[in-house]
Amino acid sequence: MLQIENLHVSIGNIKILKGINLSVNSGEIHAIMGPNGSGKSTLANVIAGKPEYIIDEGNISFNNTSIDNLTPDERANLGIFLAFQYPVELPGIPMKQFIKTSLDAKLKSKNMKETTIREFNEILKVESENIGIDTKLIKRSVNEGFSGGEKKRNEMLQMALLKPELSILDETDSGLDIDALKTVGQSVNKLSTEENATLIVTHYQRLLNYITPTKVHVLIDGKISKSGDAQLAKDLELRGYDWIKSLT
Amino acid sequence: MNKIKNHFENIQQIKYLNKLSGISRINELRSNGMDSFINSGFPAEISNSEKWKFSNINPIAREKFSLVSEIDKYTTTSLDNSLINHNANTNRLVFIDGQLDKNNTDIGSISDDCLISTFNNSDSKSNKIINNNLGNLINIENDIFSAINSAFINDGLLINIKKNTKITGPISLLFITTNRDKKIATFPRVLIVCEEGSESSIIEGHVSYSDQPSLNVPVVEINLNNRASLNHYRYMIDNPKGYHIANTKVSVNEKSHYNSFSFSTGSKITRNELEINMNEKYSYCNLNGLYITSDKNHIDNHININHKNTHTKSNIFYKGILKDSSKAVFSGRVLVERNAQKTQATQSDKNLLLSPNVRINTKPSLEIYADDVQCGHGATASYFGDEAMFYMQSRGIDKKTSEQLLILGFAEEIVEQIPSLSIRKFFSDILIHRSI
Repeated sequence: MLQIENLHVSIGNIKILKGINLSVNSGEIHAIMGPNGSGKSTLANVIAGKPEYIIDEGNISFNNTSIDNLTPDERANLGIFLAFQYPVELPGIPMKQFIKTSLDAKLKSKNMKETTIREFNEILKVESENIGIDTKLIKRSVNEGFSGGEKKRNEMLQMALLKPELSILDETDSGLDIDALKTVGQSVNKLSTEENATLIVTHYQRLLNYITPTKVHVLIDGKISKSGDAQLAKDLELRGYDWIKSLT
Repeated sequence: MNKIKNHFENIQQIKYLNKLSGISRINELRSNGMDSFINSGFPAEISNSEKWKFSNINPIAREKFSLVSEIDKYTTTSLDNSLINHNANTNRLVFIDGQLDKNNTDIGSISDDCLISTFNNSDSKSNKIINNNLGNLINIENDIFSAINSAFINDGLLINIKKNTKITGPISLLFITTNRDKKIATFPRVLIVCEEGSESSIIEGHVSYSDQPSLNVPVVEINLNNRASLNHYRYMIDNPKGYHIANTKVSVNEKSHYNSFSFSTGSKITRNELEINMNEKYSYCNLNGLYITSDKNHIDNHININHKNTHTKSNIFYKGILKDSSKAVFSGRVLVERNAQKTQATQSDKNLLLSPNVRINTKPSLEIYADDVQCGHGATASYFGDEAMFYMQSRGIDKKTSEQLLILGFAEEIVEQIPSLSIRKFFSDILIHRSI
């Protein structure tokens, strides 16, 4: 599904990713772990198409098509979803309008009919209850005045509604209490099928107590230094990132 | 007289100027206004003053305008209904090129609660109110546009809301400039006197269908007696060549409440002057405004609030959206006089810049001579957040739609201040129409 080959990325004059190779197939959950500043968030953002990152070398393809030249919305409508590390507040834009516009854009890109307001309200109600998001929040502007946990639940709500083929979670676990962490874990597990895939970017192993990854990759200084199965995350938790650094 | 002929080409043909009005105050204002204009001339000579520092009005001085004496034939169907019918039950007065258009005017349902009369058609009761109030709030000697407006007073409008009456629906005034083969000048004049304890809402719209550099110089004087409250909604939709120089003067008295919402868009040069005198204790004003500039538009909001008594409260909240190579000016001056203790005053102007070629001069200022007051002011100007754009696009929303949503979201904070739902919807609709 996702194929990354020899990816070199910079922002301004700073080289951040220095030759990433990664292959994610349908039905898989991959965890990208690494210390601060190793390039984890850059990798997540560059897949979603954040404009300020420059691809110096290599390429990213999704379902066998290169997406390097696609805008973020075109990538999203192909089925790529990024749950933000810091979801952005959008004052004055009502949650319902935002989510419906987003859902309709996806349907439209697939030449499908937009949802009616009634249909949309019904789906929104069901998913909000599943995620445990307070219905009062749905009446507010997007993320405005939401707590850290509420913002992350909102990301999970959008993910559940958009049903992406590839979900990328950029440090979704950071700053979360145990309950919210559990919600994120449950959301990912619930949405995981043989047809889709998840890429979890995280600093800590704790989210992986709820989600068992197919593969774990350790990113150090812009390169994947080690890959393994779920056990690798546990080893890291015990031995720290210095252990990987000492191996390289 | 030559000075006037330089700017208005057909002045001799305008019959009403040679005829004395039945209202002595109008004759006096016309004559004083004309004298003042002849003495001071057009704004070219005053453009170096502090008051006009950021707005160059020389282009107006260079034009030669035509005055209109009668409404020429036009088709009412060509008027954009969305600008008129914001509420089917609205009482409305439509002025075409400065004169009342009876076909589109309908004030049947409110005539018992208030006195509405044009200056050309007023009875002795109206005349008395006009004689006592008209021109009291303007300064003909020091403000050239109030002077010109006064010199050319013709079919002005008096609205007198009677004591302790509550008018449920808004009274809508629509001033339309039609498209002609010449540059026309119009001088709408409105006097609003809200008697004690009355409550009302007035919508004042200025819409230009002209593709000429027409000039519109409205003067609105509002006198709020004790415990009166008025919601004043003002919108201006002009063409990119038009000039709009408006003066609104308000006198707010004990426990009375002036609530205004201003929306401006288009026009080569727009200047909205708003002066509020908080004369008596416990008076309150709340001023909200939104301006959207594009192309080479220039919109200048110039606000003065004078706190003259204790326990008065004012609030200014304006927002601007600037596109292309446009320019906006915000000048808010709040004066707290020595005896205006316990004054509360806040003002804020926030701007969203959509192009690197726009320019904003924002200058909120406070001048405080009392020592027991709570006052604050602030201004911001910022570009679209890249993070916000990326967030929206990452949800599949294309760039253009994302921008539109962000613009409307930015404006929403002002629009949501409008108390009436139907009027809020009317402004939201114009906003969607104008910002996209």
